[in-house]
Amino acid sequence: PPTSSTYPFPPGLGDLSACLPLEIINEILLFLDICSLLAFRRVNTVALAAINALPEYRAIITHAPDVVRAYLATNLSSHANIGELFQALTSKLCSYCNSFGAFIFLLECRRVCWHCHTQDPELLPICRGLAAVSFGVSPEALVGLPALRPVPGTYTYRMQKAVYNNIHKSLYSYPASKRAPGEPAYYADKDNKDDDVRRYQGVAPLPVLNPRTGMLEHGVCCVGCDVAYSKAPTVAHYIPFGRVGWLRRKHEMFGEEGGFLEHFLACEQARSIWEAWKEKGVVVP
Amino acid sequence: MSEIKLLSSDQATITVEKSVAERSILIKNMLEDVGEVTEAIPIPNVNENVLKKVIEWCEHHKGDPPAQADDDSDSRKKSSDIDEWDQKFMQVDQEMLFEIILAANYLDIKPLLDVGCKTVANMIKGKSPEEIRKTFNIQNDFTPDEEEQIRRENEWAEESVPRSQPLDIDEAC
Repeated sequence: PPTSSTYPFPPGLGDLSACLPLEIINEILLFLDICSLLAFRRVNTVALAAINALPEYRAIITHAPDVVRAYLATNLSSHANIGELFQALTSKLCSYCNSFGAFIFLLECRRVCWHCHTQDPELLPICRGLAAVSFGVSPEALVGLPALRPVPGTYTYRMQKAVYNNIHKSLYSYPASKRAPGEPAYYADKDNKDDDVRRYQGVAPLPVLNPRTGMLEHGVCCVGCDVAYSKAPTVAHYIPFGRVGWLRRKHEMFGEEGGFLEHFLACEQARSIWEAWKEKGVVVP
Repeated sequence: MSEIKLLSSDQATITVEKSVAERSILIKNMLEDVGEVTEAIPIPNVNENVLKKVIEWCEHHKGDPPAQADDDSDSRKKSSDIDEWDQKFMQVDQEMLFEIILAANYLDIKPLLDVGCKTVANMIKGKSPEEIRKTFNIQNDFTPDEEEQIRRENEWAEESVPRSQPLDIDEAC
């Protein structure tokens, strides 16, 4: 068969490129989900080049590869299209409460903040059996809903303890008569808010991309709140968000422009740290 | 209700309500610029069949709220769902589908263009590369080696989240 080395010219995209200009093909590609887009990449050299050149795809693969990986690992990749994902990447505010959001809620492909994803009762992923019982979802409709495959991960001590409590202590708090057939007893219909391990299975960190400048913003969190929270003195600086680990301590994250300064003026602890810094003669950037 | 006439590429004249024709931003802007017109407006890129189909769509959707300029990225790309009437409307052969998309693009009818693009996207969704090739008569010009390489390239993503980056909620607690 003819191949890229023997072909005199690229074969094109068949009927697609024969009838439609490239900008419309790009529009079509934006409606593809991650899974189909990766399949389309394997069609031929022209398809591969078309997708590699798609600005939205490039931005996502460059700046949020972990989100793509999370989608594939959780088996949700057929529920998120590239256009939506790009929109989430370039938005800045949590789409549920409008404060700065540093995560993506995979099931709905929308940006979410720490507070909403740990507290909002609407954002708690539940198992199929519970959905059927609590909301009367028919088995056919259930199949069409995005279903998340939990990803095994390494959890820290507190989280392990929380999971242990979930499994062993609330085992009998959820009567068998209310459970769907086959539903494990430990999926108690009880939302443990930020201790509920289910809440962490459907989110991934997502930086903010400014599409005009191409700059990434990870958000900052306030050490003042942190200190006030733990009641212990600590090194004063504000921590650029790099790892999820930082987030456990703070309640809120802020955008780098404006949002943090506003908070700083309101946060007593942060200002006292600032004063202490100035006394020590630390030069602040 | 005032009516205007459109002249298709194959010289057929179609009479249509002004409010319906104004779903097309191209025609709307043209009418705003020229004012009252009595003779037919030539639409040189679209033939009679396609134009009739497009007008059918515009008539069904004439009550829809007009698209906002800043709406462009927001609600448009939100979902790949197509409403039921549009799905039926788009049950045409592939050639007609592409013609409608081109006409919607030329006449600047964004919602119709989106419905068309979503329909084509749905033809690709969930298919294997080989099935996609068959659907659109696309030649495969990859060597087996190249194909293997791209498959491996995709694989990086198909593995689960690496263990080295655990979901570290609270290491210091």
